Amino acid sequence: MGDNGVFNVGFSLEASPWRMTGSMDLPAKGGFSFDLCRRNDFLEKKGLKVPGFRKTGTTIVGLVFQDGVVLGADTRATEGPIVADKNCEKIHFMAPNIYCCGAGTAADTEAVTDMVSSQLQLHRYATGRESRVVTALTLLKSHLFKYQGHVSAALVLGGVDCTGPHLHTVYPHGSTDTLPFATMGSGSLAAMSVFESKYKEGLTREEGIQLVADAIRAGIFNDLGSGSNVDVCVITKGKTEYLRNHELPNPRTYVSSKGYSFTKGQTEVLSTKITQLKQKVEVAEGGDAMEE
Amino acid sequence: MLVPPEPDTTARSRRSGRPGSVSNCATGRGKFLIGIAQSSSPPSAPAADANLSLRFILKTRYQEEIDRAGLSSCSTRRYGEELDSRGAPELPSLSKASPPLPQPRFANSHQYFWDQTRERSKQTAPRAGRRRVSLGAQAMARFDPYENNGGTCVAVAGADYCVVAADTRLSVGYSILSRDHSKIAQLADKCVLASSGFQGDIKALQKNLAAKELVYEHNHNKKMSCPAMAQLLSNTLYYKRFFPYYAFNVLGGLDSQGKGCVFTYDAVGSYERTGYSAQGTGAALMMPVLDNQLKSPSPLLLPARDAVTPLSESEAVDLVKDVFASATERDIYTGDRLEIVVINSSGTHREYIELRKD
Repeated sequence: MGDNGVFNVGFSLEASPWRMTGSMDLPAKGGFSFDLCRRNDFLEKKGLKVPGFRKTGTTIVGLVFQDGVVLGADTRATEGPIVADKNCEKIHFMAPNIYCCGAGTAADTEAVTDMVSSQLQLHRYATGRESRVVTALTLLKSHLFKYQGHVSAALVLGGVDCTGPHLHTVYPHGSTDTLPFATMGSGSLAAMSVFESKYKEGLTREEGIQLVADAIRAGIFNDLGSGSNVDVCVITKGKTEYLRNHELPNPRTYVSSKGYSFTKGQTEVLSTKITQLKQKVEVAEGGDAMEE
Repeated sequence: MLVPPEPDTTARSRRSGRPGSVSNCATGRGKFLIGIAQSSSPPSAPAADANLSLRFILKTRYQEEIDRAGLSSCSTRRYGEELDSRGAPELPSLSKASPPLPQPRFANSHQYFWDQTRERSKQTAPRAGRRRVSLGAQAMARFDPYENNGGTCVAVAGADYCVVAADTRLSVGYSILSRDHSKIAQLADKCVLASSGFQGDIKALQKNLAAKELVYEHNHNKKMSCPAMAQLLSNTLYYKRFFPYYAFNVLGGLDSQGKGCVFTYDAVGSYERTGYSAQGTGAALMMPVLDNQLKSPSPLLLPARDAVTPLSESEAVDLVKDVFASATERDIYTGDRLEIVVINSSGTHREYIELRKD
């Protein structure tokens, strides 16, 4: 007790020339690295406009029918009040027998599903077996939890593996639910109202596809964040059908028969200034031959 | 190597011995102290509570530092005071610089570092930036008197006609409240107002203008002309300059000579007579197309020219329909149905076409 063992494992977060000198390094923990958050705050206070996220403002659904799983999604991607993409793909490939619909920030859903899809493929090579839905689920939820909700991806994951058909929802903070029918996105309430009235167990394939399409259409017409077309994906044991643009209920209502011409002179030219670019450098003939 | 100091009874007797005074050093922002120095613990340390003993030991270590520097932590003495030969405090001298920090006495540089930061934090001003806000001081949500119900309005003036068009969707947030709500109001027989924005304010504004128009009729024995109504609308909007009508207006009609006129407004009444205009959520999508296709003289040219479009009435209506269909594709707040009102010498004619409902 008389010896001086100073275990100063702490360190100050202020800038200091003596940072970490002599102290023991803590083992690297997982979790989000908040190093840049202070810098971002500072920049924002200085007037830097933070770039906006493109959210998919979506309706995504899934249901379990007698032979497997049906997933559905709308195809509108919004950037605030403007439609950025009228026909985007929200049903992402995870494995030949597993697909995942994504709502939330478009970049996040793309990135997280691509990443887990690659991990699943490596796992398939390592194990020599078909991927299971719970594997994808665990990989997704642990990734999202690690990022504490900052990865804004709300997913509907469905597939059929050796243990049967499975349908799960994954929330941005990392929680999951296992359900017979599920909806996510800004149009989830409209779609869920359809599911709650019409869902029953043991639906046939046609009934399942029809119900999913009805739910997505409810989202498309009643939610401003969803629109355009209906995508459907039917997964059964040994077979997956991706019905891209299964329904197109929103054709353009009016097309001018006159057409448009953009002739010169339509835009008023107020003044003209021509600046000559520098003359091009001429390549001289001859010179030293290249050394072999 | 750490040298255990000799026991100094004078210093100990002056020690205030309040454990609370030391706890601050462990809770300073951003500092974490996990271990403690264990050397030279005084024999009379109360060791019942580990926490207490930790604080006691910290205080002891720090007390020694203070004593060695000739300072005291006693509240009656000021930091930096020197004692003269009689033991009485010297009067503070302004020419003297601030006392130097205690010399580093430890080979372990992290101990030195900890002491240094402790000293530095005592001397620097409280840091600007995020302070700890008491949990009781949370802001209450204020009532927002405005709401944007979305939608777009367009008016195009021709040589002897005026086309005023608006969609019929009323929305709030991501929901649709009505697919069949008209944004167009007929104020006088040759004067039509289309407004987008907050429909509550718009309804109030339309009532206000209708009442004023009636008063005008009674006073002047004639209906208001479109330019007169334009001025009235501007005055009405500016009347509420400091609690505006959240209304983005476009007024269209025929002037006293029977030529088409369009007046465009901002929320507080600034207005201008133009050849065509669009207001609302889809306005930014429509104006470039109108600029390009209506073949009106450019408003940038000098001298200012009359900006009515040389297109015929049917061509203008066709363009307006197409432009709305395009805006509906890209603006989520525009859609459902399009109401088109055409004013010409034979009166007012209304037409509806369907738009995308998603």
